[in-house]
Amino acid sequence: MSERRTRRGTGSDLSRTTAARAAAIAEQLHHECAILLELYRKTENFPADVADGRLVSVPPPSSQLDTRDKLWRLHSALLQCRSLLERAIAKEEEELGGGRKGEYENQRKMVKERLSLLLINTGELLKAADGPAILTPSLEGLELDGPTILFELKLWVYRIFKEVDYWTKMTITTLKGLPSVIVKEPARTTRARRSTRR
Amino acid sequence: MVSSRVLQLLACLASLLSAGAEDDSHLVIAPQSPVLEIGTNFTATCMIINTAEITADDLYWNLSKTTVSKEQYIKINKTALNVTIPITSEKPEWLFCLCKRVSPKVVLNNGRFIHGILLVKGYHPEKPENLSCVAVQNGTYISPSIRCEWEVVGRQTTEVPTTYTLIVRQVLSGETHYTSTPAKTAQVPLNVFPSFMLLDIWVEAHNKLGTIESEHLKKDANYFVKTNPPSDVTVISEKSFPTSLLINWAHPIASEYLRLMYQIRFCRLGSHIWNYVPLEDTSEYIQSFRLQNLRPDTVYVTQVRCKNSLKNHGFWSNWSNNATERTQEDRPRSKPDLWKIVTEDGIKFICKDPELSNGRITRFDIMIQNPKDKIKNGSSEWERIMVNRSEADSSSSHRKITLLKKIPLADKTSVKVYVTAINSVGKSDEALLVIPANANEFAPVEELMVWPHEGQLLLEWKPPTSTAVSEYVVEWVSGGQIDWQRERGSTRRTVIKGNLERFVCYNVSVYPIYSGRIGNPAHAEVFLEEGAPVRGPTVKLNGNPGRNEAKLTWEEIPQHSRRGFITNYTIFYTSGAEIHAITVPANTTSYTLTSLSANTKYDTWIKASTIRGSANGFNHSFTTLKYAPGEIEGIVVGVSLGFLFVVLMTMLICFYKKDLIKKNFWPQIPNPGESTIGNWSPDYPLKAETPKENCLSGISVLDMDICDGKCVIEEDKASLPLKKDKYLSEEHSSGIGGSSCMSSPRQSVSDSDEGGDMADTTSSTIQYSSVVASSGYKGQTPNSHPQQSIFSRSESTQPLLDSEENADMVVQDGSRQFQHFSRQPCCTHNAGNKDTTNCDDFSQLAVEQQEIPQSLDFCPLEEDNEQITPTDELSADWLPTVPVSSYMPQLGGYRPQ
Repeated sequence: MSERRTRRGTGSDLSRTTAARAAAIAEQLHHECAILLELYRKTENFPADVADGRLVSVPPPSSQLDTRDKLWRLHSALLQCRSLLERAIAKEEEELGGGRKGEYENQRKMVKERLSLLLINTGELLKAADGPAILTPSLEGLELDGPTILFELKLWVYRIFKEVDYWTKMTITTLKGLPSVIVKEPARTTRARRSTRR
Repeated sequence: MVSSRVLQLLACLASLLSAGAEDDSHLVIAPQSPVLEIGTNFTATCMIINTAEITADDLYWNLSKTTVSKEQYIKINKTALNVTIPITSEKPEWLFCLCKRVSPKVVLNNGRFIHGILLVKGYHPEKPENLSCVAVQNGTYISPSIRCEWEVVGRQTTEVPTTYTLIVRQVLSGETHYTSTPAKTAQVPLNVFPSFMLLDIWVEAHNKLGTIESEHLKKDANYFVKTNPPSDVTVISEKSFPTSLLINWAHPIASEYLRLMYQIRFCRLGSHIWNYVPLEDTSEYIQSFRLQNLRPDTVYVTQVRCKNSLKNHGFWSNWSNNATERTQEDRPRSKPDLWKIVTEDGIKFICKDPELSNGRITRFDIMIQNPKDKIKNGSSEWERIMVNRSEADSSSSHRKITLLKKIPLADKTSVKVYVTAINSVGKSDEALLVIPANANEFAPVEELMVWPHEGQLLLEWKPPTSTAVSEYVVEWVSGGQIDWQRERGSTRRTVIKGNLERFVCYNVSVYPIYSGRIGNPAHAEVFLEEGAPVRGPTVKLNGNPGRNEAKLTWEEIPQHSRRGFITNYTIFYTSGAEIHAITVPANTTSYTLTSLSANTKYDTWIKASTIRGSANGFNHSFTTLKYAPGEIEGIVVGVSLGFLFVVLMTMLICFYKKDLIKKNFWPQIPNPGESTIGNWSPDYPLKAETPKENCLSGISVLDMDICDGKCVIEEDKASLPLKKDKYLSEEHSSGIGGSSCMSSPRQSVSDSDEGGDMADTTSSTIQYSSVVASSGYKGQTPNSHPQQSIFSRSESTQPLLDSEENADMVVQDGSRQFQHFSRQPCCTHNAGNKDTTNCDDFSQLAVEQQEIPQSLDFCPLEEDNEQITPTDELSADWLPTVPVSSYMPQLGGYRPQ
C-alpha cells in the first residue's frame, strides 16, 4: 500500500512537494549508496559485515518526537554524513592519490552530490517545519580526522559509506511517515503551525 | 536623465582634456569609441580646448568623407558643437570634427584642429526563442550534462557580435552552472544530474548594446530526460495461444532515477505498417506485455520505447531493436480459394491457400461430383493432393496457386467441386465451385469498366439484372499468368489486389457467381500503365514492287513488346531526300504505297504508336521497277507491228512501183554504139588529128583503194613537174565510160594539195567518171604538146544520172575526190593524144568548151576494178559559172562498156 502511494507520489505531486522530492532523492541516494558499497566491497574484498558501529551521533529516536524534531534529527545526521564523506574522500585522495576517474570515484562523487541535494531538501523541509529560525545542527564531536593506518582508514571509509546508506534509509522511512499534510503542503502546514502557536 | 548625460559629458571631457593636453590637440569629441544601435540617432559633442583661435562657429562635422549638414548641428556654447546623425548602415564609419581655415595658425597646425571617433554599429540582441533542453542517459544514470538549443532571433554585425549564455540554476540551492557560446546550442555540465530537483534554465543573449533573456524553463530535472530505449526486448510465442505473443523487456534505467511509461508497436514481417498498442495499456511501469488478436503462423516484428511516466515530461526514447517472432499455427479459418481454368481439352481446377491458412498447408482434399457419375457410382470420394509449402510461401502475402486436378470438358454436364485445405493443426471448411452445364443461362455483369488509377486497376460494373449474385470473381490474365480475387455480391467497384506490372496488357474478367455456379463473364483489356512500344513492326514487301507502287505488309508487334494499346501505325518511306509519312489505323497490317518513282530505291519503316510514345521498326529497302509489268511487252509488240507495217508498205510499194524503182535503180544505159558525138572546135576547125580510134579521150577509170593513198603521195613527188602548172590539170577532161582501148589513164592535177587526206575516207573502190569540156583555155605548159585539143560532146539522148542533176553536192564531193584522183599514180598525161582515138566512139558525151591541150592516157586497169572514173575536175573558183557534171559512183549495173 505504501509502495503504491509512493509510486503515485512520483507523479505530478512529486514535483510540487519538497518532502516527496526529498524522499525520491533519498531513494536515489540509497540506490547509489548501495552501488558504492558494492563497488567498495569488491575493490577491497571486504565481507558485508566487516565493519559496524555508528559514526554519526544524533539523539535517539523516539515516538515522542514531533515532525520538526524528526526532520531536524535526520537533517543533522545527514549533515554529519556529508562531512564524514567529504573527509573520507579527501583522506582517500590524500592517502591513496587523487585524480583517478574510475567507476568507484564517479560513484563516490555522485553519492556525495546526491547527499548534498538531499540535504537541500531536508533543509527546506526543516525550514518549512521550523519557521524562519533554522537550527543548524552541530558537527562538534564528529571524528573527522580518521585513522592513519591504511586498513583502519579503509574500514573507516567503509563505515562512513554504511552510515550514509543507513541514514538514507532512515530518511526514506521518516519522510514516508510524515503526515501527508506536511508532505504535500509544507508551506500551508507552516502557516497552520504558526497560527496554532499564536 | 539629463543630469546623467551632463555628468557623462563632463567625465568624458575631463578624460579628454587630459588626453588633449598630451596630444596637444585643440579638438576633442565625446563620447569616445561609441557602440551604436542601428536605427537610432547618435549625438556627439566636439569641444575646443586650449585655444582661443577658433570658436564653435568655425567647426564642422564630417561623416567619413561627407560633411554633415549644418541643420544637424547644435551649438552648445562658444567652444562646443553638437551633431546628431542617424545610424543607418551596419558598416563602421569615422565621425570627424574639423575646423575651417580661419587663420594661418589653423592652416599651419591643421593636424591639431581635427579629431575623429569610430562609430561601431550593431543591433540590440533579441530574445532567443524555443529553448529546449535534453539530458540523455549515459550508462546506468542520467548524464550530468544538459544540452539545450534555441532559435536565434534578430541580426548582428561583425563588430557587435551576440554571445549566448546558457544558464542552469537549481532553484532550491541557487547553485548555477552556465556556458557561453556564439552558436545556438550549448551544453552545461553539472556535478550530478539533479533528478527530482527543480531547475531553472534560460539563455541570455548579450552584446555591447545590451542583454536579454529567453523564457525560463522552470521544470523538474526529469522533465529533460531522454533515456535509452528498453533493453533486452524479447518476444515469446506460446503453443496454446496461436493469436498471441508475449513481449518482455528490461528497464533502461533504475526506477530510483526515473519511472517510465512504455509504448509498443508491431507489424507483420515485411509490412512496415506499424500497429500501435494504445498508450493507456502500457503507461504503467511494466516490463512485459501480451499482444493479442494476432494472426496465427505469422511473423511479427515488435519494438518498444519509453519516456518519463509523467505526462508531458521527458522525451520518448528511440525505439528498441526489432524483436521478431512467429505466432503458433492454428487450423485454417477460411476456405481455400477455388477456381478453374478452361482449356481446349478440359477444365483445370486450381486453388489458392485459404486466406486464413494459419499455418503451412500440407495438402488439399478434393471431391468432384458429376451428376452422371454420381448416379453410376453412388457417391464420390475425397482425393488427397499433397503440397509442399516452404516457409517463404506461407509467410508471403502472395498466395501460391495450386493445380488440383484436370478433368475433360464434358458438354452439357454440370460439375460440383469441393475442396478443403489441411495444415498441421486441422482442416478448413469446404470450398464449393459449380461448373454449370450451360454458363450462358447465368447472365454476365453489365457495363464492365476497368481503368488504371494511381498505380492500381479499378473495376466497376453493374450487376446482372436477372438473378441475385452471391459473389464475384475478378480474374486477370496476362501472358499465361492467371490470378483472381473474390468480391462480395454487393460489390460494384473494386481494385485488383494482385501484383500488377506496368506495360503489360491484362485481360480482366468478372464472373458472377450464383451460389457457387459460375456465370457468364464480362471481359476487358487494360494496362496498368502504358508506355512506348519496345520496337516497331517489321515491314516487308508483299510480292515485288511495281513501277509506281509497292505493297507493304507487317505483323502486329508481339503483345509483350507493345506496352500499350497501339493507336496507329505511321508508314515512312523515303528515296533519299524527302521522307513521306502515312498514318494508318492500328488494325491495319498492310498498305500499298503509290505515286512512287520508277527505278528508285526506297527505304521504308513503320512506327507503332501508343498514347505514351512510339517506336520505329526496322528499315526495309526496295527498288521500284524501271518499267511496269507489260510495258516492255507493249513496246516490243508496238515496234514489231510498226516494223511489219513498214515492211508491208515497202513491199506493196515495190510491187506497185516496180517499174519506177527499176527505172531509178537500174537506169537504161544507152548503147554507146548508137550514140553520135559531134566534134567541134569553137576556135579551131576540126583537125584530122582527131583520134582515130573510137574512144573517148579524157575519160579515166579509177580504181582506188584506201591503201593507195600512200601511193598517191609518193606519186605526187614523181609528178612534181606536172604541178608546176596547175592549170594543166584543168585542161584535162574526163569522159564517161571507158573502153578496153583506154590503156593509158590520164594524169589529173588539181590546184589543191589537200585532197590526199580525203583519200583515207573514201570507200575502197570508187568509180568516177566525168565529162569535162574546156572552153577556149589557151594556156599551155611549156612541155605540153602543141597539139590541139579535141573537144567532144556526147549527143546521147539518154538522161543523166541523178548525181549529175545534184551537181552542187557532187561537185563539192567530187572536187575533193578529184584531188585524190589527180594524184592517181596510174594516170599520166601523154604528150600526144594517141590514146584518145576511141573518143569518137562515145556518143552523147558532153564536152564543155574547154581545150584539151594534152591527150589523156589511160593506165591499165585490172578487169575487176574497171570503172568509169572521173579524172578531171572543174575548179569552182576557176569556173564558177560553168556547169559541172560528174557521175556519182554507180553501184552495180553500170559497167564500162
